[in-house]
Amino acid sequence: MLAHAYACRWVRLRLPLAAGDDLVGPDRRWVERHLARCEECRGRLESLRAALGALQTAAAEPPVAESPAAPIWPELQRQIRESRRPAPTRWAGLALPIAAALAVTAGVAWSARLDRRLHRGATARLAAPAPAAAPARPPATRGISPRHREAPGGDEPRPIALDTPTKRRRGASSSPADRRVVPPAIH
Amino acid sequence: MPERISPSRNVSRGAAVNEPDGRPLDAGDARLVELARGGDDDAFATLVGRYERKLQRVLVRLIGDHELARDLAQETFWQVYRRLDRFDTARRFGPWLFRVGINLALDALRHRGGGPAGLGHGGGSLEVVPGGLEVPDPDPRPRAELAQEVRFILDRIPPPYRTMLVLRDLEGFSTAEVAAIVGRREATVRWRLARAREMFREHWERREGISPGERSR
Repeated sequence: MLAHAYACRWVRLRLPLAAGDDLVGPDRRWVERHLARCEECRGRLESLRAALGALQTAAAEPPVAESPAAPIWPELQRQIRESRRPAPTRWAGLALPIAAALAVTAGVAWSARLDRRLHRGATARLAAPAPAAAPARPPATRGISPRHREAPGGDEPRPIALDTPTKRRRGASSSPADRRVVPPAIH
Repeated sequence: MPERISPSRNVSRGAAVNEPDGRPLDAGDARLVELARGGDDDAFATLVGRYERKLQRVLVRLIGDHELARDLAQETFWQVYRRLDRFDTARRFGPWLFRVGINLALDALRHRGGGPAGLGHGGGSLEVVPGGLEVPDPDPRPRAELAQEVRFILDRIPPPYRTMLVLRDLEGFSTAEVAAIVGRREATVRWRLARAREMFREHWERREGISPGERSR
C-alpha cells in the first residue's frame, strides 16, 4: 500500500510531462506501466490533458496579426540612424551660446590681463628713474619709489607703504610735493 | 494540436525564395549578423522581418498587452543590434534574441508588480486581431472565449512558470530550445514545465468548477 502511494507520487510528478508528450526514456516506461494499473493516476492524466488541450486551443488563436499593421523596422531603422549621427549634432543648438560665453570669458580675461599690465607699467614708470638716478640722488629726495633705493646699511628692501595705483597714476601727473611717499627709515 | 514551430523553420535551405527585401531566404542568421556588424542595415532588417512576429507573439502572451509587447519587441531588437559585436556566431541567433526579449518582458512584469495584466494598463484579455491568415473557424466565439480564459489563468501563474507554458505549449519551442532561451539545463526546464502545467491544471479546474471528485470519476 505504501509502495503504491509512493509510486503514485513519483508518477504524478511526471504526469504533466507525459500529458504533453515530453516524457522520455525509462521514466516514460515506468509511468506507462503504473498507469496501466492505477485508475486514479489515469484520471489525473486525463484532467491534465484537458487543461493542456485548452492551452493548445488558445495557442491556435493568433495574439498578433499575421501581417502586423506597423512593422518594427522603419522605427528601428530611424533609431539606428540617429545613433550613428556624430555627437556634436546633438549640441548644435548650444554651439552659439557656448561660443558667445567663451568669447565673453576670453574678453574679460584679456581685459583683466591688460589692466594688470597697465598697472605694472604705471608702477614701472613711477619707478623708472630710480635705477640710474637713485644712487646719485640724496636719500631725502621725494617721489622716488623707496623700493629701488639702496638701503643704507645693506641690500635688504625695507617695508614701504605704497599708495594705491590710481593714486599713484594721479600723483605722477601732479607735482612731486603732492606725492605721499613715506620717507625711508633712518637707522 | 497546433503545429510545432521552430524559430528557424522559415529558413528553407536551397529554396529559390527571397525575403521581402530580395535577400535570399536561405541566408543564415549568423551570416546576416556578420553583415549587420559590418553596417549592412538590410541584413539586420532581414533578421527583424524573420523574427518580429514570433517575438511579438511570445511577448503578448507573456504580458498580455499588445502596445507594450510591440515596444518591448522594438527594444529587444535595438538592444540586440547594440550588442551584435558580442554575439558569438557559432551559437544560434534565435534563442539569444528571445532571451533578451523575455528578460525585458520579465523586467516589465516585475516593474508592473507581476500581477495579472488585467489589473495593469492595456487589459488582460487576449485580443483577437482580425485579418489573420488562418482558416476561419465556423464558430470563432467559443475559441476566442477559451483563449480569453487561458489568458486569465496565465496571468495568475508566476512569470518564470508562465514563460515555460508560453514557449513550450503556446509557441511550440522544443524543450532544448526553451533551455537555450532561458539559459537553463534541459532537465531544469522539464521540471519547471511540469510544475507550470500542474499549476495551469489547478487554476483551470477551479475556473471550470471541476472538483477533485469529478476529476477522478
